[in-house]
Amino acid sequence: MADQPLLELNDLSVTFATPAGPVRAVKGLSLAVAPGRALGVVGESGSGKSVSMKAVMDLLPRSAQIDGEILFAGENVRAMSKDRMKHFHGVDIGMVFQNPMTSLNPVKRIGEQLTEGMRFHQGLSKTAANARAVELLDLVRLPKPDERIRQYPHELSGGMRQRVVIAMALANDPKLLIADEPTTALDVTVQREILDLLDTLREELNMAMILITHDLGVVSDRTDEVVVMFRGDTMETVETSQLFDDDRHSYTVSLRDAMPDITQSRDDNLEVAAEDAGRHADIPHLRDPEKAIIRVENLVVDYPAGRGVFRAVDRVSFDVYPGETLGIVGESGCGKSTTAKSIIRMPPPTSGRIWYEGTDLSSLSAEELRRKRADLQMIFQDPISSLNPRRSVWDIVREGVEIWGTSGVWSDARLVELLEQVGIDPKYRDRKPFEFSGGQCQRISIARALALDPKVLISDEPVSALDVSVQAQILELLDELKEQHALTMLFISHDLAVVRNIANRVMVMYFGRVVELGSTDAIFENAQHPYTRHLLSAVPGLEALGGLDSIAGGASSDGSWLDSERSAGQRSEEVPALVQCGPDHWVAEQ
Amino acid sequence: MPETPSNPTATPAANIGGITTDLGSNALSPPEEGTTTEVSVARRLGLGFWLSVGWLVLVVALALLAPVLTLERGEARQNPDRSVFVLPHPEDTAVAGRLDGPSPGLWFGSDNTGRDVLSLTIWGSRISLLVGFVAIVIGFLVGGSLGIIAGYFRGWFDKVVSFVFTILLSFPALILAILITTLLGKTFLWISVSLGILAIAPVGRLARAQTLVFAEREFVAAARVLGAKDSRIILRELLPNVVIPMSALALLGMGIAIVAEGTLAFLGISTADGLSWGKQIFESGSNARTLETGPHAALFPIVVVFLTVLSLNFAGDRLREVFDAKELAF
Repeated sequence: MADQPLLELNDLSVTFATPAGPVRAVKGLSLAVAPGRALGVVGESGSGKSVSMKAVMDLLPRSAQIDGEILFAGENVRAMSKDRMKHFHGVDIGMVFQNPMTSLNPVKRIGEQLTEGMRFHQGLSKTAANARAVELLDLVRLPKPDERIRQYPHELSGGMRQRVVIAMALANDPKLLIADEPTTALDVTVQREILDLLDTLREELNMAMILITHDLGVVSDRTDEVVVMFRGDTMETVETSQLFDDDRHSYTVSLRDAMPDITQSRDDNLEVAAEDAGRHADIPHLRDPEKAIIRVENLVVDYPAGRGVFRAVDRVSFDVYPGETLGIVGESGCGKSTTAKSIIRMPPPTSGRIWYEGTDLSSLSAEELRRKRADLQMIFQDPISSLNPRRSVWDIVREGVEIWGTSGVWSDARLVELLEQVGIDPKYRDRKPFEFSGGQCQRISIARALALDPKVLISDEPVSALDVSVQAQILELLDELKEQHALTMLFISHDLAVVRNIANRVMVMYFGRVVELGSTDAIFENAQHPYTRHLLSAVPGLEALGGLDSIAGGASSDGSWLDSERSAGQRSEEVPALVQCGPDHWVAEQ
Repeated sequence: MPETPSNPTATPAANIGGITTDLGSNALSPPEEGTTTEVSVARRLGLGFWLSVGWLVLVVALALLAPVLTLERGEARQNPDRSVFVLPHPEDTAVAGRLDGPSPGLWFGSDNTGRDVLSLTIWGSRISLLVGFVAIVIGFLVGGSLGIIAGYFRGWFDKVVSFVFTILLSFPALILAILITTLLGKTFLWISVSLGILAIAPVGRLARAQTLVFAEREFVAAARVLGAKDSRIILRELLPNVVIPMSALALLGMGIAIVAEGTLAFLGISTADGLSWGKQIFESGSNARTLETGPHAALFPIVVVFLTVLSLNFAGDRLREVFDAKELAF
């Protein structure tokens, strides 16, 4: 680092006064970032990574007590006058927040929001500010910028909105850009585009950047130096190139190990015991549909949209075999959740047929369906929203038993056992959900689903809302329980690495249709469809992990298929047929 | 999620460096004993809340005890030396002079016809409080259930119910109350019913809105997947969540009903079969001469109504604030 650091934190501490006494959210954080450099701040929730940056931005509530030194280009930030502070926030630093939906004002046009700050801080005229706004939108690679400034946020996609937020942060030529989880709410392919954009802009404008994230993969691709935080403490500060070395701090190593590894096939990863090895061979293949536990044929789900309908799922067919885990992957809006949930008729399919153990579910009466459905249980993405805040853990887990009568499958003793199995100490059974952490709530949710002894478990993004270490625990728990309870699992996720770790077979969906279906190894090591390749290539941190064979050739991971598909604007009338291209590998015709 | 430093259970148990390996042992970090939310709910409700509750308890207790505290009709004139806690019958005239001011033994003074204002006020509270209570019960039973059912099932039923609510809200409230009481009788029952009908729409709309919010939550979907029937989902999953903001509204609504009863009394619509605060204020307060010579006769019941309604509002607001905050934190 030849340059004088632009932002320097020396022994920064933040303490919150709470009714339970003071809580130190950040303890003695020191870091420095020079112009043109990118610094990553990594940690799980509660690590203090966001709080420390909010301290820099003076965005903390009054109850927070800040100690230590914050220097910006040698100037003490905490001693700044009010006016200097305004300039510091508005001009010297740009900030990009996690959620582009909430960081834009929904009732103001893009142009207005962009020009507001410029007119205030730079005193530009309306026309000059507008011209600059167009320039900025062009800078963040938003197509047709002169049309965009007249649009409202809801007219743009999530990725486009995040570009607008970045443009706003850049409006006054900041010297430092602080990005707080800028891509966490975005799809993986969009994430790559946004991170690429931030990289390019940093070089073009010679800005310093601080990237706050929970994702080691993201920092490993995009930063020069990384600060690892845990519960307010700084674990270590390390050059990014050495992040994956062996002699790292034990917390960094455990964080690294908890990351699902996309380059390793499932068996290597989970170190499945020898007796399990035979299990995969037992899974019958598509050639024998008689053995399927679930058969889906020509499934269509329409949602009402305006005057017409939006076809969320378009003529999808697949089978699920007893004992396997079928991963369903794709980006948001591709219909992966809808497909899985329509098996339990939430929502009911518009057309198409679904068989469960040979019974056509659409032929059942409401009452018969209700009884069948006890076999098909589900766990949800948001562990907090999926538990009733007014009921105790015990009531929640007992609910199924109560519905189906106490004479049913589980006695109280077995419910206690079930709680122990999912890792919740039964002595806390009278507590309410808000007294538990997110990971614990997800465990309770799993216990509730298993209480009915289901045969099929539909898991809708069960780990997306959790920290990476908790994520690893829940995945391992799911895998264990799958064995113990002889479950068949449908595992929906946008996270390819997670799917590689847990699924036996994978179905890739794009825009309501299946583009590729096959064994997990076939999909990850020999992806055939350009969309699958595109998805795989967007996974952050791939290079640090040594890359994937399937995209190492990189022949068509450039997204040209996607571009032509997007520019067509709508789907072809015909659903491309799935063609077999391997022993357990099907791909859609292009 | 942003950091939640105030919640000690927000982060999972993990020793540095041991994060992924503690799966073998079963129980994760136990939630700590006595989290802040439990310890101090009573304290966080604040002194104002408890003062309000104290006042309401006093008013209700006096209303309930009125028959015990009061002498038979006519007895008061025979025993002019009463102890402090014995009241003359409210309808006994000339227990004191006309519009006598407050004095020991006659705390609130006397009214135009020499009746004891304190006794009148306590007896009046019986009808006023009951009208408020019955009105809000009607509003809750009818409006609350309609609102929850409409919010849960949506569809045509929701459309019809919402339309009815809108009509009820746009109908001039006083005219509706006058219409009902004139047609069916100026009795305690019909006054309560007409105020109850007026409470249906606001209560129902809140119930519907709250139901919409909670019906979106995944725990409702989870219950359905478990096989819960609609009735169970409404009663066991939704109702406990909807009832909290509703209970705050109940207190506010009771205050409004009490004031409305007073307004009706001022228009000459009050219980022909008993005393009420509204009727008492109307009798003493609508005559300019009486107001000039003995303002206390109207002032005391007005102050009591004011304090009671204020307490109801304040207690309701505080309850909502504290429980909403708890929800938010969760």
